[in-house]
Amino acid sequence: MTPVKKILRTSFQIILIWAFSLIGSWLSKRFSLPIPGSLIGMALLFIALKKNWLPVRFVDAGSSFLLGQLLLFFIPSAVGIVNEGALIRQDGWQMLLIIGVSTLLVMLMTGFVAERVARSKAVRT
Amino acid sequence: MTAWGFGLIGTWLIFLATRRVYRIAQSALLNPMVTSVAALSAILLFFHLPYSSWSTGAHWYTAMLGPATVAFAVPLYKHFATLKRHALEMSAALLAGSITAILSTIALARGLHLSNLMVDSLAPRSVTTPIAMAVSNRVGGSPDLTAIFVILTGVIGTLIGPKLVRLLRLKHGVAIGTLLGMGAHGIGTARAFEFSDLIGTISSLTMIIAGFVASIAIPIAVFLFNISPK
Repeated sequence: MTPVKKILRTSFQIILIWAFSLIGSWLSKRFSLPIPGSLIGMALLFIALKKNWLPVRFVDAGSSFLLGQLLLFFIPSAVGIVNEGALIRQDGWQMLLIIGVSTLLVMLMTGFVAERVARSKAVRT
Repeated sequence: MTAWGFGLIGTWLIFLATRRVYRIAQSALLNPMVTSVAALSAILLFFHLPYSSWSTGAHWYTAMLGPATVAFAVPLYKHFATLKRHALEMSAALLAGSITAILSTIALARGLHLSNLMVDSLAPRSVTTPIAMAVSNRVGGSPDLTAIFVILTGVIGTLIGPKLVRLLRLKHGVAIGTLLGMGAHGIGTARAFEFSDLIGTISSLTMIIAGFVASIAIPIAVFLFNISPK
């Protein structure tokens, strides 16, 4: 496949994935659901793939591209920190402490429980 | 016009450059999230470029978070059989992790006497950005602040996660994936895909389910903490 064809194919697939996201957002707003539209869109695409309404090769390249750039999509919100100078001076260390300690506890708990259950399952089988 | 162009093209180039450096240097501290956000913040502050004009270009990337969330359906579909095999481990770990995340955040924030706005903005910080912002809005927090807390969580979690994997001597991919997805959501998931495709998928599924759990549990938890005597 030529590079141009590859770019065109990936772009088209991204637009297709975007359409699922838009439909999800519309449904979320229309029925004032507590679930964000993107999650509804994901569920719809998953169902479409599972039911073979949409072959996976129609979205594979677009999905890989989007997931490969995932971190980029968080950057604008993160740079929003430049607007919060006053808050950081006031509550900065408390925020970092809370996030650090809580994240540490969450990860220890999650990893420990998953490993324990996985090991006991391995013993049983 | 220039701010718009820099927001769109410059942001992307800086991201690609920092990711390149990260891949060559192989150092957790050079995580592209940390270095690109530091570089962009420094540029905005140094050139007195207002965030609002830079984000006229850069906000297109935020808009891509929706389609990127939808894109998780593909690895989910491809690895569905494996995920079904690990349903028990994942549900147990998700339950433990979600309870720990919500209770420890609210308790610590209250213990340090932060304002209600701060507590409500911090409470949803352990889940992926789009869900966290929606939940924050519902419980009366500030979605903008929540977005920053979510990303700080992801960055801190991605820095300490692989160390905890070694400390806990995790052997099972399912444990590594749930740890990263629960603790560091999208940013941790990007790291999890560096371990393996399966660990990345487990991480993304954990993140998604944790988001569903949070969108129901956090409003309840915030409500209960607010009516309890301080």
